[in-house]
Amino acid sequence: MSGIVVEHLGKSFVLRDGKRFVALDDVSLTAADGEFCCLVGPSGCGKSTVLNIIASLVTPDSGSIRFSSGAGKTRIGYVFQKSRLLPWKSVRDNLALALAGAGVRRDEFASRIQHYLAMMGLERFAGEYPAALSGGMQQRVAIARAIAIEPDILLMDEPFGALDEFTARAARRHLLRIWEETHKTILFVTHNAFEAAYMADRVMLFTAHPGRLVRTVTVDVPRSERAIDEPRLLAVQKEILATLGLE
Amino acid sequence: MALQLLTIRLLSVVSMFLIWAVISWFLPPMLMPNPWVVAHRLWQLCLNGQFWFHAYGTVSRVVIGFALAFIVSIGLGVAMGLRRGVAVMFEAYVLVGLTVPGLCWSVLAIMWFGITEFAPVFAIFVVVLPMLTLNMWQGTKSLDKDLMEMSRTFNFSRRSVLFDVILPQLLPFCLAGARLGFALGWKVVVLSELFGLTSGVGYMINRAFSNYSMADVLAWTLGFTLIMFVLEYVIFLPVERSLVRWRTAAAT
Repeated sequence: MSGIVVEHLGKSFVLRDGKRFVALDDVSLTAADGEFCCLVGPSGCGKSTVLNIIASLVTPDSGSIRFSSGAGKTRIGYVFQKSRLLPWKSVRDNLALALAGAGVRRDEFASRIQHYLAMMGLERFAGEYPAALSGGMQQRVAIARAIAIEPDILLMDEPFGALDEFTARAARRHLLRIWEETHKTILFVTHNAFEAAYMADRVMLFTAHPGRLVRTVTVDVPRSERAIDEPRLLAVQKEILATLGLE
Repeated sequence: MALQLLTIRLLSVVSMFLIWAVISWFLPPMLMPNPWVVAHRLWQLCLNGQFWFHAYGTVSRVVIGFALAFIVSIGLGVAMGLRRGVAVMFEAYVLVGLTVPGLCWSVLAIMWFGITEFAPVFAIFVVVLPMLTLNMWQGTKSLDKDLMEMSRTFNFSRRSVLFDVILPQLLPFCLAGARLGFALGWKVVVLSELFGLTSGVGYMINRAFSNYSMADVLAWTLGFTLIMFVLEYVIFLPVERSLVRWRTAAAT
């Protein structure tokens, strides 16, 4: 387990027409060990870029990232917007490849895969190819893959963005249950203000052009009182939208 | 549905022979013998063993030349798709290779290497290689970037990236390449055999031509076409089906 300290990240890209696009302008943020943080903002605000820099998929122009896990390499689990499962591998083998990449001992594979598929309610589908599963189930496999490596930090980039609202609601509840069991540090990117208010301990608000972190909102509602019609959550949602200039 | 498709497939083959039969009706047998006569001639060639001997020679040349080109094309094509520098280096080779006619290579191979088994194999290799390389190159360029990123995030080993992420995406391209390459190889080997060898289907067709025996020319052509059919239905189609099973998982 690990917290994160991100300091003064800057990243810009050069577009095809030669113009510079500032994805991140001096972004600093922290996530405590075991905290559920949501990054919210319009597209182009750099929220996904933050995740990609933390996952070392993108190199920042400036700034630094520190993990509080101390010694050793910080293990990162990533859930993408699309499941990104290998379609020619069974659900079981998709998880096994991630375990191999994380250096898990081979004789532990079976029990780990069994455990995390069961956690996502997928134990019956271990032998299936992803194409045989619905979109929501594929995304659950992707989550199982990310938590099966028992990461210090879980990055989630609009993981429910491609799901219909019914499936997404069930998936959110499911994710919260698992988070309460495992207490992973989660950075969760979304552009859905209610989703952020419903799930997060803290919500970080980003604006685009250039991508900046403008405000952090703490969601002061105990987990046991978070229903989807809870007025205090709706108030947080409103606050988020107002800050982003959408209301 | 499956039965309907099978009927159409049969109809497609039968119609070829019907068209042939109708044409032979209007032409003298010296120019266009009817299918029955040709089939009978092929049967005789099979019985006296000539067909098997020469077909074996031809097929083995195609298989060796094609297999060598196939292996090289995977390495070269993948390297071209992944490394810009390699692509720029070999792009011109591929283009020139695609442009030079198979006939030229057949003639050159025989002038260089004489009447040896190496000449046709060499000719097939150089004719098929550019086409296969282009195919693998295109395949590598179309690799799914999202999956490559995913494999980096989850720290897949190099070996795993190659065998579990890249090659499965290239399999359809390998199969398409194998089909085209094999068909192209057959066209080239016949030319080589016609010009400078003393065995093979091309050589026998040339001999039949010298005797002006249309039935023999067509019998050899028909026989070889049947071999290609068998290869398609016995090797390529089943291999394709088993390799892309995961794609139809949703349908079952």
